[in-house]
Amino acid sequence: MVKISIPRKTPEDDVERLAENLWNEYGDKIEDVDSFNLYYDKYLTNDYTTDLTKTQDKTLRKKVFDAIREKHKSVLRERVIRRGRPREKFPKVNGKTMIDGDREARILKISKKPKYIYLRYVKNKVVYARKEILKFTIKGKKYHKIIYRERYGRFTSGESLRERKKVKISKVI
Amino acid sequence: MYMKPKEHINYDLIKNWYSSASVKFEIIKFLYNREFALLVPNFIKDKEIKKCSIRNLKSHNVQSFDFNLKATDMFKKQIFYNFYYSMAYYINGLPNQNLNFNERNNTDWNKNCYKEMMGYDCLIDIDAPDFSNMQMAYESAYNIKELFDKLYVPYELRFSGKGFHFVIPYKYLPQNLTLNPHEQNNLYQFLGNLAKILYKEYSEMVDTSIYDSRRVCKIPYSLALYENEIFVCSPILNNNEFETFKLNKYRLKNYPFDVRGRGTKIFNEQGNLITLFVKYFKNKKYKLKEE
Repeated sequence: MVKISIPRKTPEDDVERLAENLWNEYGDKIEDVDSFNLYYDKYLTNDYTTDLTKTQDKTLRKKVFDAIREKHKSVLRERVIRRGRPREKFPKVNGKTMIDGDREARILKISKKPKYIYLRYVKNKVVYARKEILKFTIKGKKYHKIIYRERYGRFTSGESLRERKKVKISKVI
Repeated sequence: MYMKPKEHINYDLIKNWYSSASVKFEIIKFLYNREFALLVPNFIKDKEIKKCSIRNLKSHNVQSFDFNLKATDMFKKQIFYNFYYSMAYYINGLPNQNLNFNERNNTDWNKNCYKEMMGYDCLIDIDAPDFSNMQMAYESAYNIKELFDKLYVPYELRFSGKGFHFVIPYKYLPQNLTLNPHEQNNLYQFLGNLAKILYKEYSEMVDTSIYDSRRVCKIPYSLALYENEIFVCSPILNNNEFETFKLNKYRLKNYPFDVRGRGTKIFNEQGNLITLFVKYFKNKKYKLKEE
């Protein structure tokens, strides 16, 4: 059986179509770069983007964004939600700056922040710590280790100093 | 490891507990000239039931306590309530009110109740996010107890269901600070600073955001209700009781103590807060806002 090789169709072939479809689907929610990136990722299925390298993805993303901006000037190049934003753009209601439209981009950003949810010890003090994976190489061999750090970056332990010194204390549970 | 019980809460157990005269008499001791509140616990998400929470009740004797419980219909409707009392101590107690809860209007009292206050207890609340973290809460309480004993600070220690409460009675607190929440240098700011110190030095489980004029706290000998658990909020009366603390002992089914006349205990009753202030405020390690 003879195989016919079909030249691979890259998504770069139809930037215009992609931009148009994306706008039709999420147009009311796209207002700036952040919200564009969010819905761009949502819109493109995994198999569509797996072929792309990081650079390809970056260029395609830029082209689609430019194509959208050509038609819709309301989409901002700047980030809507950022520190020190020009206040006059956003009306104040009851003393709070109101931002219309989608807040998911911001929520995503917040969710990326480290979460201090693990209760651990620094000496005898009980602290909330975050989980980190420490990667290091010794003699060419790669190692992974899970560590917990508290707010000030100090390493934490699962046992209190009291416990390590074998001071007797009641086990509550 | 903490194992969640499979059974759900048995309402008859709750009814039996609150119908016991000795429990009522013990609860009443904490309600004299203070606000009594019945709040629906957090695990109930139903908005309609949430609305059943009632504050500003006057319950200065057993009869009025019974009367309040009857008025809520909690036993008939099987509504779960946690019982709270105010940290504030009022000169003349709470005003008499209509027990038809729909007709009551407390807005004026809520605004101006600080004018009637005579004192305000200091509450240091150590809360575990989960029962599996109770060991951490216990060790936090252990750290703070050790400090208070070392500095001879008077305090009451209580088990609160999912953590511990340290209560410093109002008579030991500085009398020159105002109880008006709208003024600077008020007592609540001062207590907030104290809690922040304990948070920084001893445990991050100390709640630092509970200091306001209308704060309430679980009544000792009342029940702390959780999704599958019932605990007795019990005062701890001696060091041995604290050192041999087991969560299982404070489940309603297993509660080992006779409630009648048990009361509460102020550790270091003859002490004061001066040594604590000298240690943390005078050496300029921590500064009070007003300084």
